[in-house]
Amino acid sequence: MSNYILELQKVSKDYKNGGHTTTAVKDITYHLPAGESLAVIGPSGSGKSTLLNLIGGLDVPTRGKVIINEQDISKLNDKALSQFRNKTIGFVFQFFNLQDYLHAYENVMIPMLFSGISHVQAKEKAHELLKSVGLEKRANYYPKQLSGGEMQRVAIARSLANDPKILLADEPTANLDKKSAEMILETFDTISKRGVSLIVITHDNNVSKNFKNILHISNGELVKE
Amino acid sequence: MNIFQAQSLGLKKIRFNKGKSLFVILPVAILFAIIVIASSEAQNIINVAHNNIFSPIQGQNEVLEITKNTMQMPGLQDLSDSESTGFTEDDIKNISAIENVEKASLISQLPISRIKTSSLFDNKKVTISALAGLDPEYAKLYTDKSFEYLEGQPIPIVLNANDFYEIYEDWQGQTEIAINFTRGGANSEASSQSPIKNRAISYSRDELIGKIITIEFGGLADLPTYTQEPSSTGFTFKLKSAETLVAEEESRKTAISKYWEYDKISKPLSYEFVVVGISEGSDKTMAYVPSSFANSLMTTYVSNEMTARNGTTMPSEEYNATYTGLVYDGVTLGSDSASQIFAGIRNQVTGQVRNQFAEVNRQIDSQNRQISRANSQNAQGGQFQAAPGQGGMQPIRIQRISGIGNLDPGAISITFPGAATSYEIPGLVFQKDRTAGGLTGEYRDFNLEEEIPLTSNKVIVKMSSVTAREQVVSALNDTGYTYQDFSMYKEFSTLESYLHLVLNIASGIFMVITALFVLINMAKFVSESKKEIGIFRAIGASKMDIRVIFILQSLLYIALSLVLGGILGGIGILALSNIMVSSSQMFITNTLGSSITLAQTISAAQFLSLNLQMVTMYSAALLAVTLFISLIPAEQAAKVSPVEAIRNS
Repeated sequence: MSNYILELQKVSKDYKNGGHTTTAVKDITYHLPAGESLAVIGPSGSGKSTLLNLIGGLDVPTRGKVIINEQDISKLNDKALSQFRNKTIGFVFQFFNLQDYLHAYENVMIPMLFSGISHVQAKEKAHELLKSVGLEKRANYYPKQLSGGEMQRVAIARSLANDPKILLADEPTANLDKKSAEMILETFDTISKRGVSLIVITHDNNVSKNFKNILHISNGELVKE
Repeated sequence: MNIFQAQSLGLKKIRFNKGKSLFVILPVAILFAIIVIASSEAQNIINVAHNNIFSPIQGQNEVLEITKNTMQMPGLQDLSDSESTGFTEDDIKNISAIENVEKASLISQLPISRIKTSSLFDNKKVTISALAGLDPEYAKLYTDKSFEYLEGQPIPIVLNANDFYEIYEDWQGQTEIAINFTRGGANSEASSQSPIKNRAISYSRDELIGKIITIEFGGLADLPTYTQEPSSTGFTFKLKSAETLVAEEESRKTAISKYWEYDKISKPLSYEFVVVGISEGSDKTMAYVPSSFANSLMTTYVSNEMTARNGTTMPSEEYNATYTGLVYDGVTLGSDSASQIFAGIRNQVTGQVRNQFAEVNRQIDSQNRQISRANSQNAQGGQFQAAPGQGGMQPIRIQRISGIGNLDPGAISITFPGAATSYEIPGLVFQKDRTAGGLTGEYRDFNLEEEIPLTSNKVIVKMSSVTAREQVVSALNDTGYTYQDFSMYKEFSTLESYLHLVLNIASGIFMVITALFVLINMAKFVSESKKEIGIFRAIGASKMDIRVIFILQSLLYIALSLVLGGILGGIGILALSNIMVSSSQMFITNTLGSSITLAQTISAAQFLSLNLQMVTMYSAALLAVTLFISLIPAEQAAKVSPVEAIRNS
């Protein structure tokens, strides 16, 4: 039995643009031990986000294998892949991506509803999760009534809804002030201590310095582990 | 995510984006409101057309009336023989033998005098000139309401609009008015000179239908308040003094009390009726009650007289001169020949009252010439009095008509000096010797009932189906029963099917427009929701989840549109109903009213009904179409790449 939560085996991703093929991720092989976290750093357009999408099952590799929790996700059909994203992965985006028409707790409930949990249970857990990120008093706020940091914490609560093994965060602090960013990092710290593997894309050294495993990517290639 | 959660998600989205949602909902709602209004009103128009035009026409056209024209004055000898002027059971047999004739019956005017009501129009006394029993099966010709006679309930009656006039006296402060017939011969002038006038009563069919009225049968005639004597140039009307009237009343009471209990015989029979139809048109001459009631009424009418008799035997000179009534010759029961002439003319006059006096007067002149000839052969000379219902075989002279009032049984009385006074007794039946021709005595049998055939100049025919009309009419004419068919049934049924077609096409077009609108809206909706779709996909929504969410949202939008559209449509229908009534009434009056007699009048309520069946069908169809159409944008939504959707943000 493998001890890796994430295995990348010669993963490549090509994009066809007319007759021209661009390789966004080139032949990356990497193994992340279970329970450990990882920061992916590199300049803009280096292929970080593509790699994150491949790990998160939002995209499929052109070549190679993405094995998560011992499961080759490149072979899953839509339903299985959706379930995988729903249960194994938590996503945190740079721009929070909350639904403006839903209250904070309802945003948190969405992944649980997709997983088939009852409305009552989902609601209860959503409130718990919001409490764990310190937003129990903001549960009934709409996203636009919240600050950036608060929105990101709602997004984190949402990503944790189905107790994922991996939390994928794409530039989670890029849109936040320093204080808010620090709070997010503290939250991440708590999460990773609970055994969730954190994979964070960042170009912020303040973020990456907290990580033991760092992946440097440039032009789609692994530069340094 | 289950359907309810997806639905609740959709509702939250709509509630949050109220303004934006309204842009989607409102146009569909308005389109739907138009569909509701258009389909309801179109259906209402069809219903109105069906109920007020086609159905009566169809009902009417299943039945037809053949009338033998009694005004084609037969020879005088024929006048004394009622059989030759009317239809008989043999005619019924002949007509019934025609293919597709379901039933044929004689229509006989009940030989009852003085059928009056004061409750139809506010205290205006109206006389029903001719009443007949009608089998409920034929009643469709005149009414769409029940024509069954149920004891203890008001009896249905179809009135004849030609009876809706009142008679009044106008003496212009004088007690004597002379009418000059020779001056220029203008009849209208003579008519305007007469102190006895009549005027039509305006009526609203709507108000009359359903009205409960009391009708009286028989009783004694009102004594004329004036005398009408012939002069060398015309007539002289003289107002009687109050003393004269009292004296006349007393002498009548004395004369009648000789053989009857006065109080009993002078009191008319009285029944409650409900007006179920109005027969209109110049060719209509009868009012109708259910035949079962007519039969029982006749029995009561006759037995009432018999129970009022005091047992004193009436000598033959009395019943040949003083008392008049009905005549039963062992074959048919009817008024005597004199009153038959009156009935025939009265029918003609009331039928053509509005503009055809001149024609009737020509006919009367010709009749009078015949009567004059008869008089010259008659030993009694010119010294006689004629009153309706007078007994015996005396030929009479009938005055020219200066108004219907002069033909009212109570009012028509030409007094000749020295003439004897006679009294018409309601329900009194004389026996007539059919071969010898004279009255032989009173009829004392209480079993005078339904079986006794009445004379009839009308046959009513019901065919098995309206579609057989053409064939039946042609067969009738081949068999010797002249019938000119003015029915436009065929044209109307074509028109009705066209109306349905137009409604269906119009609804179809609206449906397509709405469907297109839904498609465009939902496509727009999907493209606006790409980011949301991407996020949902990222956090675990399958393609099926996305499809369900989008289809449900489409349906939700449509459902809300339908509710809003339904409300708007309802308001629209309410607002339009009065306009619809007046415009369709106008349409019917202007186009069809002149050519057909319509049994109903349109009411506002007929345009208030929501075409629930159609609206439900449309709603269901629209939801189904939406469901089907939203599969396209939903599929589009399912294909949205989460990577692109998130990257775009």
